[in-house]
Amino acid sequence: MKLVRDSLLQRYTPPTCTLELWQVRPIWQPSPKTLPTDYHFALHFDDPRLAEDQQTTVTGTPSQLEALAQTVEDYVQTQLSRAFCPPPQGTATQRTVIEKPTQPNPLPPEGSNFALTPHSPFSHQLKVVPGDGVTAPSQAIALTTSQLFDLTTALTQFRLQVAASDSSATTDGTWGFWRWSTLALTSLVAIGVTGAILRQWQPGNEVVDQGISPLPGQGQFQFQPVMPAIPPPPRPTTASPTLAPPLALRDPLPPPATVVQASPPPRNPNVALVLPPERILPPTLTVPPGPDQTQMTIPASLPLSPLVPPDEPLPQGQTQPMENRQDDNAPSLASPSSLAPPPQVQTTALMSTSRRPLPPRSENLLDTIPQVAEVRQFYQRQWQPEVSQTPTLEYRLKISPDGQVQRTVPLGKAASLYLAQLPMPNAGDPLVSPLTHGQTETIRLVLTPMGEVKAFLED
Amino acid sequence: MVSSPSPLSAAAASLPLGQRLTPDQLTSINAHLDQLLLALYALTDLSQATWQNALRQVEGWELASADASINRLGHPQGLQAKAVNQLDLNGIRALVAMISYLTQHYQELLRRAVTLVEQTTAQRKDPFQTILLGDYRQKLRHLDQSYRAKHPQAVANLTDERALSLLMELLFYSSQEGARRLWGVLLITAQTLVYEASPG
Repeated sequence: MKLVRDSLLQRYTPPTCTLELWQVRPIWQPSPKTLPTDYHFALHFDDPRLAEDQQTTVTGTPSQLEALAQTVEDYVQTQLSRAFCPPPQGTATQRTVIEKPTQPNPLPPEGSNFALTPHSPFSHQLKVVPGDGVTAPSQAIALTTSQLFDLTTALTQFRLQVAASDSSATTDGTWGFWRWSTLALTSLVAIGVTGAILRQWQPGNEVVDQGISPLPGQGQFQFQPVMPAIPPPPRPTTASPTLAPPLALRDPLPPPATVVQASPPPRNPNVALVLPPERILPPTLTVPPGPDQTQMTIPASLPLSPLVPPDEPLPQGQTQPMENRQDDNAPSLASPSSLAPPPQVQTTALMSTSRRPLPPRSENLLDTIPQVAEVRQFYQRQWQPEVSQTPTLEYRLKISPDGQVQRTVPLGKAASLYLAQLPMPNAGDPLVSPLTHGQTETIRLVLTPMGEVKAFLED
Repeated sequence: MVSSPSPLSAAAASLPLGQRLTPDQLTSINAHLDQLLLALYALTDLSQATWQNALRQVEGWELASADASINRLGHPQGLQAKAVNQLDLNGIRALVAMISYLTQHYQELLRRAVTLVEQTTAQRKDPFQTILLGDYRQKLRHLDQSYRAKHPQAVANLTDERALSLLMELLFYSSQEGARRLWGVLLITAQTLVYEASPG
């Protein structure tokens, strides 16, 4: 049995990389309130286009992490300062930039395991020299500018947390002990009091005298008719389960693509419709008479008509879109001339015309508001998946009351990578019609590699 | 009464003044900031409301000179009327805070633009063939022409490479430490300038 385990202390998850801080400690030891000094880090460069075994990971000690953060920040600062163009010529005083760009040194400087060099204006290379507690792939790690930005974001968050942890560690160190002691003592007292109360209400105890004889007499009990147990009504809001902290820190997986029933191919208009022949009714059965029995015939009393599958019961949630659709069609039904008398209810056993036709099985069921359909239609026209796109992309669109896209949140690493290719309306133009209730709505957009587009309203 | 400064203002207020800057260094810094603002406006079509929100982030900051300097900027459309070198050091510091706020506000769009550049470049395609970047370049050129028409001493024409580089810079300034990073870049830029004596 392992007495120690590698516990996750902190995780920073910008879109294209993950920085994790781990600590090996005994299993009975609780999580530290401040960042300890004996942790180790793991920096994963996430790329959904690569296989799991091809993902790049760098591990090391706290000092190496600090060195990496400093190296990255210095590199970014240098690159940004070099990007600025020199002042214009032709002025009274000639100005030139004296700092010529130095040749990039691919090797880390002495005393450091990390070196960042520009490969092109929008690509960079991170060279990590293994050793001194650092493990990394031998080849240089290629980073795009957005990946470098995410790396700086993770390292900045790490540094800010370390700074905050250091400032609070001194104040929490002494009186924190007393706080936990008080809390533990209070918990023990509460448990003891609760146990005492429960023992007080045990059914085996003597009841306060209420004038009831200890032994039941005849006729004392009145048997009530036992009603079937009615389950309690469902709660309007279901409790949302919470994930364990390690699971909660992980990026949520995209939901699996729903299975859409394939629609039948369109009918070729050149092919004539051929109706199936009516059922050939079996001949009337006649039982040959037995030697001592009278002749019997089985009358065809049941009207055998072509079988019509019974209407499927409306599934849950299907009434709402029908109501919406009904509301949308309300103006067209207002004219008296369009009103038709209700159809006569047939008495045929297998046919029913009182039910409305079922809506087709499509994503229309998810159009709780018209804007959802508008979003889906917009992207159905615009979205063209690339050949290299393998995963399903999901985005969370924040729609402002005027119908404009307030914010687009990519869900998952793949969505972040393809965010730039996501079609969007022109700046200032709304994506959908204005919302009727004047509140911001959130619409989930799902784009499959096969070009399928789904949209639904999020709560 | 001055309200407590916002976290953004507090970050900018902690920016070290450093050594005294010469007028030419101030000119260089102003020009740098103008380029960033032009690029930001060309990409985002900055609205008046967003600009005013950014101004309010530093208005609680007790810097009378900064208020006066920033108020002269007004809306980015008024950037064309702003004369270079009008911002003093305090005004520059306030403008740094505003740029940091604006880039954070538009971080998603900036990231989208940078990612688009990376992908098109990797595919050996012209980034400006995309709608987003094509509109950005067109608008930036128009703004730059109007700006230089009123400021003859302004920097040289913004090349396509510079236009793309500005997107990258704005993205990095949209981080939590963006204000401090931009301030450090401005100081480094000013310190690397060399002045050659004018001939004659």
